[in-house]
Amino acid sequence: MTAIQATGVSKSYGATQALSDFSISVEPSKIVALLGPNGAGKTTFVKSLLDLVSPDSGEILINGINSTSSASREGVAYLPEKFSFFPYYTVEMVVAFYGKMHGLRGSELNQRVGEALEKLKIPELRKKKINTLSKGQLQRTGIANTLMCQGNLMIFDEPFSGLDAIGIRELKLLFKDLREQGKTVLLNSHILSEMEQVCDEFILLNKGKIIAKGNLKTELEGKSLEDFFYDKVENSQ
Amino acid sequence: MSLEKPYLIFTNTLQKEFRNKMLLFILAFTVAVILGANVVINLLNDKVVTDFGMKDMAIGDKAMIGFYWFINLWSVGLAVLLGSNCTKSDFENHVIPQLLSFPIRRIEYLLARIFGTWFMVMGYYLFSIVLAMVSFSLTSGTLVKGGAFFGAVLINSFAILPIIILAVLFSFFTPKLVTFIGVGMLYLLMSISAGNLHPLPFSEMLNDLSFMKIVALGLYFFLPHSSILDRFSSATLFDTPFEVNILFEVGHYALTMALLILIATWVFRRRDL
Repeated sequence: MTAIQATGVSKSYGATQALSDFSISVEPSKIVALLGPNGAGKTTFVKSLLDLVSPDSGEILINGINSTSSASREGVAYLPEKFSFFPYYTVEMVVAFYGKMHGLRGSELNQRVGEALEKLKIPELRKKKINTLSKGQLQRTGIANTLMCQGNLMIFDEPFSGLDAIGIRELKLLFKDLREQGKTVLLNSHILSEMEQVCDEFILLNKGKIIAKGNLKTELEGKSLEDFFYDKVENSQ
Repeated sequence: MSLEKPYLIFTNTLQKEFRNKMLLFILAFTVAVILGANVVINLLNDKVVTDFGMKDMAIGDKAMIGFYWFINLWSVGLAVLLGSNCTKSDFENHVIPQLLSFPIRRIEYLLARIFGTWFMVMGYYLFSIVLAMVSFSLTSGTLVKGGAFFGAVLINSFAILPIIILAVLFSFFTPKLVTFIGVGMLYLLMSISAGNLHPLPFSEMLNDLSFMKIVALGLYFFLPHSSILDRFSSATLFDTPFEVNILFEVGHYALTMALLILIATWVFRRRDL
């Protein structure tokens, strides 16, 4: 079963066409890059996947379930572009809240919270309040939250934002680890050099339309992702 | 339908409001007003009335009625205040996309926030009323019957809920202050129209239709009768006469609340986040 199946999805905001007849199929256990310049429609697509935005037409299936049904999000973890939470929550409380919302309880919840904090190397932040964290620490907390989901689709919007070189490296390893576990990772990022290193597939958007997609290694034909991206976007103008 | 996730949002609402500094200020202010007024009334009763022999000026039991009115009005204000912040703060803290990316339906989220807010307002209301009752009972020796007390609180809880939903609905479109003023004005208009139309038989309601009367009829028929419930609650507590057609009011409340929830959900469901 495909992890994501989008068919003919269109969405406009007034006169602006954010997505136009957008159709993709994402296979499981892949790391997929969603690429495109600002305003290409990437975030609109991610939000449509999560039913945060209602497309004007088309259909999106997540693991075979229509995205308009809350059941489709049972197996979906999401890191928004700018992660934030109620300022009075501690890191531990936020991660536990995410775990509970994904159905974890009791000792399993405590164990998973501990593991997620260890994995993101932030166990010492456990009791710190969200509003006292640095940008990088906040981003690590947001990523720790996504690990509380037991599902097979992980969506990260600008995951490298605020992270230093060590953080970015660790995050890339984490993505590969998630793929090894059989999870599908959808990445929306502008940092092409990092995306090139970690992704298997890509979907390149411009002005709401797909201008290229496929396997990253075979489609690049020896070019860097940056050059490929620039050529494709320029040619589609 | 599993209630686990809505329950988590419900408890999150309580945690959120417990940290609301405005609520703490209002609570402290209410305590000060109730206790302060009690002291003043005692002073008037014990010193002025007794010392100067002006028994006609004794305000004793009437003071409790006045305070019940004050607490009810204050609760309406609190319902509007917390209702306007209920989902708005999720937008302001940019947490709404995250909360709705969980496997929870929008209506579940919305109702969990509304009922969480309702629970907070009722907690405040109960605290205020118990404090007022205890302090007045101790000083005036007047006791309120337990059954009447719980009946009045229960009736008033039904009056508070639609006000919160109206505030939530307004807050989808307007800033908090505009919501507060707008719902406050609407509540006033609802009270005026209910006050004028409630005593009339149905046949007379449709006589001499003017623009204002049509507006009043619209408010009376399409919105819950919070002010009537408020007066009914007061009448129950103090055992004063108040004519009300229970069957009509229950049916009207159920229908108008369903309509209100339906509209709020429809508006929220159509919103891109």
